[in-house]
Amino acid sequence: MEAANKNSTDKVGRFSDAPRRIDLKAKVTGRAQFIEDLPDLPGTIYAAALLSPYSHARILSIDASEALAMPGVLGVVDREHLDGVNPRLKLGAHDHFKLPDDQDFVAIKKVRYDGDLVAVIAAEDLATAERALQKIHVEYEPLAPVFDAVEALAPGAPILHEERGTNLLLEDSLIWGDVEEGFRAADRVFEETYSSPSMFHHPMEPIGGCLMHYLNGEVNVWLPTASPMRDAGEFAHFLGLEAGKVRLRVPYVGGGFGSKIPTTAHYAVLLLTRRLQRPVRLVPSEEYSFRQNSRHAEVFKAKMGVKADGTITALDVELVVDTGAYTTGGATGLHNSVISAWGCYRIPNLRVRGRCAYTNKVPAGHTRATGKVQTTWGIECTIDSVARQVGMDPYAFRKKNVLLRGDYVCKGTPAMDTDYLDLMSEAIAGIGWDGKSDLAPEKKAASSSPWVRGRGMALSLRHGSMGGGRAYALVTMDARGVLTIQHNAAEIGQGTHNLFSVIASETLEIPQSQVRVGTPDTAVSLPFAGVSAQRTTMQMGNAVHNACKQLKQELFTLASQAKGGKPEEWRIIAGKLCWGEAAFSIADIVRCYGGSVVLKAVGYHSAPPMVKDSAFAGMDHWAPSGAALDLEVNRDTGELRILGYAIIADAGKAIHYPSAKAQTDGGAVMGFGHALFEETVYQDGQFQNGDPFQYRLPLMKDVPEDFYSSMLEKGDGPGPFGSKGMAQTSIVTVGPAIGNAVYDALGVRVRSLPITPEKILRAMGKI
Amino acid sequence: MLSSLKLLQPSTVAEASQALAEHGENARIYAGGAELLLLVRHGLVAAEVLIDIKKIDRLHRIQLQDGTLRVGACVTHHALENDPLVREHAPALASAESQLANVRVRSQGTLGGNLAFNDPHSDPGTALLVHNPAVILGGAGGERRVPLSEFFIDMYATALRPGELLVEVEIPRLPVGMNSAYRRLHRYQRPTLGVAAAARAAGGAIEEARLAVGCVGPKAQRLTDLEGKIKGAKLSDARRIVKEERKRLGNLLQPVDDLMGSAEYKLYMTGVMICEALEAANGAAA
Ligand SMILES: Cc1cc2nc3c(=O)[nH]c(=O)nc-3n(C[C@H](O)[C@H](O)[C@H](O)COP(=O)(O)OP(=O)(O)OC[C@H]3O[C@@H](n4cnc5c(N)ncnc54)[C@H](O)[C@@H]3O)c2cc1C
Repeated sequence: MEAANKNSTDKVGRFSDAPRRIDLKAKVTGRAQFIEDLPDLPGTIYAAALLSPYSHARILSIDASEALAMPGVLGVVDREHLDGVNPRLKLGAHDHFKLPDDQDFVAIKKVRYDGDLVAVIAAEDLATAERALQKIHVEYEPLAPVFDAVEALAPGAPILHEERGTNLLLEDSLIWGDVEEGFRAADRVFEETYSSPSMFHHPMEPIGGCLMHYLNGEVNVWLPTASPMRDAGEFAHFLGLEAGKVRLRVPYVGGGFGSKIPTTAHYAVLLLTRRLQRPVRLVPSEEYSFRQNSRHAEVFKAKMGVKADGTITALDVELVVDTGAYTTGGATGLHNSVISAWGCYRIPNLRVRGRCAYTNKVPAGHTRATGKVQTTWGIECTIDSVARQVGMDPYAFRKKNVLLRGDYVCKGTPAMDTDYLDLMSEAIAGIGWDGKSDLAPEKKAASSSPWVRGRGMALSLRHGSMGGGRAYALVTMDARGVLTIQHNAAEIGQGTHNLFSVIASETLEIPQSQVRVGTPDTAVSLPFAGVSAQRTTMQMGNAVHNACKQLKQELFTLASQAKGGKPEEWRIIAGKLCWGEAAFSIADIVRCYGGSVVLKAVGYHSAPPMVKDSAFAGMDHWAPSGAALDLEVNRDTGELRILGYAIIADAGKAIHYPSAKAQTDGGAVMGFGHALFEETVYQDGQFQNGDPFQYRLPLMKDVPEDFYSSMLEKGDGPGPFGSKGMAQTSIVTVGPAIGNAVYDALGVRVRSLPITPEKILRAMGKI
Repeated sequence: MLSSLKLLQPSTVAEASQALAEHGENARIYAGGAELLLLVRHGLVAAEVLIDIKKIDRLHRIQLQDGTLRVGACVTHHALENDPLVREHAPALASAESQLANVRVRSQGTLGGNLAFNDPHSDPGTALLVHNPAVILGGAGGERRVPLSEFFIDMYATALRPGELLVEVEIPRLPVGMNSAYRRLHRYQRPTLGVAAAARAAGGAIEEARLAVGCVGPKAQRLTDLEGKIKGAKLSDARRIVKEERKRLGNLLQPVDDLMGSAEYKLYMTGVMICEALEAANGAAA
């Protein structure tokens, strides 16, 4: 239970002088408990996982008998030891696709990626469990792997799921107008291709830790996850239990970015705790974590038609999305890519077609702005390139074509609800630029210094919080006047619990020190889709806001009954219930019922309903950002120096300014990783850099000192106090802003992420 | 996870080499442990006995004797980067040490451990080579002196014989007017490429140059052919000569494609950085 720090926050009505986060002290002092900090339960035993060293192989035999004979080893789960459960995992229903259940939680006939789960051992202690893994004898028949989605779709490629006969998982499209017509109306037509590699989220806390205890037909689960309600349901289904028989609690989560979902080994741990009737704990290593989730690799191929005056007439995009070995997040990866591939421009004729394919890579789930880092990289470089080729300044080209507030966008979506011209002007001002690009950058090659300056910009648009059903929150006001909020939205680093505390304090006009925020616990059955897809502020924030408004109304009704006046004549001012000159503490009013009565209210938020034939299901608002970047690139070495970066996100209203700004900053820093370094590399049949030593993350020194981030706050969002979901807007613009700035400096284009010195030298023809 | 190990802490070189001889294959010298403990943890080295040499006083010395700088095997990277004697006497080494990995590795790892392990992606060996140093190796039969260029045999292979440890590095003074510099390229903690140069120029022409390249190829090595080719050349012509020699360099270094970059990229950058190091060495001398 988190409560605000008294002296720092004991005020009301101050969004912008930003009280300290309520979880700050616990996290800074190390008192905050993450999964590995939770003490063992009495009798806890340890699980360790055996992962496939091959990317693609048939399993000829598994023999765990030597491991099971070791002292201290208590049990194994592998294809020979399944306790009668069906190993095939059931995928949840999807709004747009019928998905195949294609994954067994533990390998049955084949392994399909380097890291596929082969067995899980339980032992009295971790060292014994790990030693026992080496005594499980597995005979593999290696098969040819395929690591590239385009190759996977070509004839003759190794097939991952034989029963499907093809590596094609899904197809999707978004069409309006008539592209052929649009190309005929164009004066010029350009083709551009941009690709993005698969990468790893790399949360600070590794993926996959858990503590589970089966007792009396019920399971207690402690799990760092983004979606406790969904996971508890899936676990119950797996064990054949009623949903309420799995109780899942979420400690503090050490980062997720989409990666904190159940892992295959969690299902094995469920079986082990049920079989052995003891609490089972799994402590993951970094190498294990690297093999649990990834981001979709993608190829973006665009054809754009423009008139001589720079008006876009048509855009035709083909996408190939790589989901890795199983469906996992393939549907969202593909769909989000398709619906975002057109950027934020007025395009009268559009066709986007996407295919999603299996490859022998770590399965791709969801990653901060799923699908959109890849498409924003594609469309924003395309815009820059096309503008330059028609002889227009990219800024002028964007101003001419970008959607303006109120513009119709597409069936089933809100009208454009942001101001791109403001986002752009603030972004360029943020790096001290007038927005004008060098239209003949090749000429700079004449200067004597090897360092050449360039500037670039990028815009982004993604759907804001979307779908996911209803979100519920329960608020309780006790006889002391203390408010407790219960909910199932995990604190995964971004400040959700603090956010609810601020919303409650603002809505009820009570000091934050009188607000307590519970941690997610599915025993209080309050549905919520999960802290993902920019939903939390919008959906759970609105649910808390709604609950507090109801409670406030009830306090007014109660006060008027007890003390006089009409409910609408009552106010809460600085934590006091006031009627004319009379002021009462909230506790005074709550106690009017006598005894130990508490007041409760359940609040909710419903996403807008699905619109028939719309690709944009249940969307609340748009979520845009604009960015500008200033750099120097060395002509001899291809080395980059980022001199300045400015990113402006439309937050509608920053409910807790430092947290919202931290999302903008953090997204951009992660974006620098994607843009310049991060990539999971597969070669010679194996995952080559699945460990923190060989996977290059951005360091503090890679973030420009001149880093400006800010937010548009026009109070025009549908979230509490006019807020919007905004946490995924800043990550997507970094790559294209750098790519465009490199072009501005040298007149050459890098067409695949990450943008490395080697690729710049190649683009320049130096190697 | 580490299995249980036995730790010995000799106080002299003789005791250490005796312990090595006694336990044979089961024993390893343990200096900073930056490398060794990782190897043991990942099961790549099956040691049962660790011979901790950090208690041997002599291995911690940095001393200037008759113009020769002597650096004990247990001197850490961090100590080297900050030592005024090293900075003055062997600027390339001080520079390499200051760029090595991060401050945690620099505070823990030692020069002796680095040279003895001879990982191809290392910095100090390359920087040292342009100083024509020698290493002192101690064993049961006493001590012997081996030029560093002969000490490095292949990746992870050195001239150390069973029962021997690296005691000291001897770095002679550079000829008058000559200076040294080190250039490093990296994307990860370990270097992608390291280039060292020592040079003396007069009237814009290179009178004498020494060049060494590490990381690209199995071991750090001197580029004696190229040194000969640029001798007497104008500094401004060195770039052209290095470029002309790129193919020959490729044959010598045999770079490979890996996570750090393609072979072509590494070779291209070797050329660029040889020139940068040469210019830096000359700039420093001027
Ligand atoms: C994260 C990380 C990053 C690194 N980055 C770099 C880098 O950028 N550049 C670079 O050059 N290196 C780098 N290294 C390597 C490391 O810093 C050095 O190799 C280190 O100096 C090893 O020294 P040590 O004293 O810790 O050796 P130890 O780990 O103690 O020993 C290494 C090996 O050498 C043997 N050995 C040690 N001392 C002696 C001796 N006196 N005589 C004979 N044998 C001996 C040991 O038995 C063992 O086999 C990195 C290492 C890590 C872990």
